[in-house]
Amino acid sequence: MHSSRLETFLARLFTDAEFREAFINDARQVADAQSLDAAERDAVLAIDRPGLLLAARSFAAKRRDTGARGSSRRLRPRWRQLIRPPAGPGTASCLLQFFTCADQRSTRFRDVGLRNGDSLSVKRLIIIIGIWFLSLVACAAVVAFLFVRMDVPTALHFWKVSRVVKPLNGAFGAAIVLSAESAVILATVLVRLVRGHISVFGETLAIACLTSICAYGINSHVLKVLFGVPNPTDVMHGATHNFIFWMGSENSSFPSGHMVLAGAFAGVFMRLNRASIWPLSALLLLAAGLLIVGDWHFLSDVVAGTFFGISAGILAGEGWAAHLNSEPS
Amino acid sequence: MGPAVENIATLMAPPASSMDEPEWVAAITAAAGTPLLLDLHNLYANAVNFGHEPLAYLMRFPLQQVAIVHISGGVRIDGPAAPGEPPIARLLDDHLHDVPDPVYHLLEALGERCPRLLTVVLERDGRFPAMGALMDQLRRARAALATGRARGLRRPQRQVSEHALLAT
Repeated sequence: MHSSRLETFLARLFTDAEFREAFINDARQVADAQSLDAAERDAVLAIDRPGLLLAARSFAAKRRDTGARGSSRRLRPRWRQLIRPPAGPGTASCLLQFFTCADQRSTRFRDVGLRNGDSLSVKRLIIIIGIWFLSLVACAAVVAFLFVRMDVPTALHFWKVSRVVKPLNGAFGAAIVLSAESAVILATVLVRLVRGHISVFGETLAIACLTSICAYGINSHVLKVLFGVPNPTDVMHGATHNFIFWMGSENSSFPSGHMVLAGAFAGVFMRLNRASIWPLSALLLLAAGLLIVGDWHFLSDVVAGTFFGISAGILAGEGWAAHLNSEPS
Repeated sequence: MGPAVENIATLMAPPASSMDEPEWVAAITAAAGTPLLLDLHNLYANAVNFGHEPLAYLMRFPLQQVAIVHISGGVRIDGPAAPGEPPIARLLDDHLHDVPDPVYHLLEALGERCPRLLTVVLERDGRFPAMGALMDQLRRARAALATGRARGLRRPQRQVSEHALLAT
């Protein structure tokens, strides 16, 4: 049985959600309105409806995926390659999905991490958590050394030079950076609403900005308040360079908010493409150097801020990779 | 080798059909004069989804035309449920899961009956497991094919040589 009328009808049934819904609700009425012959009409009325709904759902998911990725390939092929997520879910993805998919914990965790006899996943998870804790300990040791031995001498050394770079504070103040990141997020949301999709790079950029803002907020309102270390300017004017626990404010110095901002932003991209690690590390180093030379922060602030920011960024990058890997095919 | 025709997986029974799938595939390959790329997971999914016994379903395909074999995995998805009844589940061929055991059994049966040289391709498009797990699936495919070939040795002479490739 074959006619262009029937093919058109089936194609519409497959791709047009409203038409399909009308057909499911009242197949006879919709079929009658399509000027099909008797045999075609009978065939249409006998259609496999659960199969139709499942096939349409699968098709729609593929079309969404192809639309989003296809357009980004046309617009920014190099960026798409640059930030293409890793092939498989990382260990942190398993952990994140385990804690975020409350209704499907056991299956979801097994799906992304322990299927296929991959018993090494748990070992890998333990290894990665172990590496992170070792890094935390190493970072704490470095921070302790810098705090005791290097912070104040370095700040004194750059005190005169800092006037030269002070004007940068106007251009790269936290408020300016946060506003720019908010604008980027808003732009990506608007593009998503208007066009129906955004490029993979756009998604990553939005996630990086969002992570950066969140990490900055946590740093300013929790960590800085917790540690309460006076900033270099206050120290130069007589304050003691010491931890004053739970007595800090947003103006406290430790950890550096700018490095948390930059580190979280960079961490997302670093997690998703190894090629970006070196260039972004160089930019982070430049930012850290400017913060120290300009006497906005002590060395220990910069190290701690970088560690916290990159950790947050990598975690967010893992979450995004996990989301991509869990999309329906 | 020139182009080949592949059998597809479908979640819905093709409406307004005057032939079933094996008849249609046989007619197409005969008319086009091309070899058949037999996707065993597609075949298995269609058999499961539409109430056929997979091995019997395989036997109805033109096995003498098969030159390439695809194996892959899929996932069961739930469809809408009628009031008071459990949801209807269908097997979706998604290339994101391991090759299920019945597909190896089908490969074994195919190896026993197909007279041609076969190239077997393991398809995997995402959620990649460790490389060792993929290699294990290839090893199982080789073993299944070898078992099938051994069983078929009593049949008329033919060329027996296989390649196994990994494609993503």
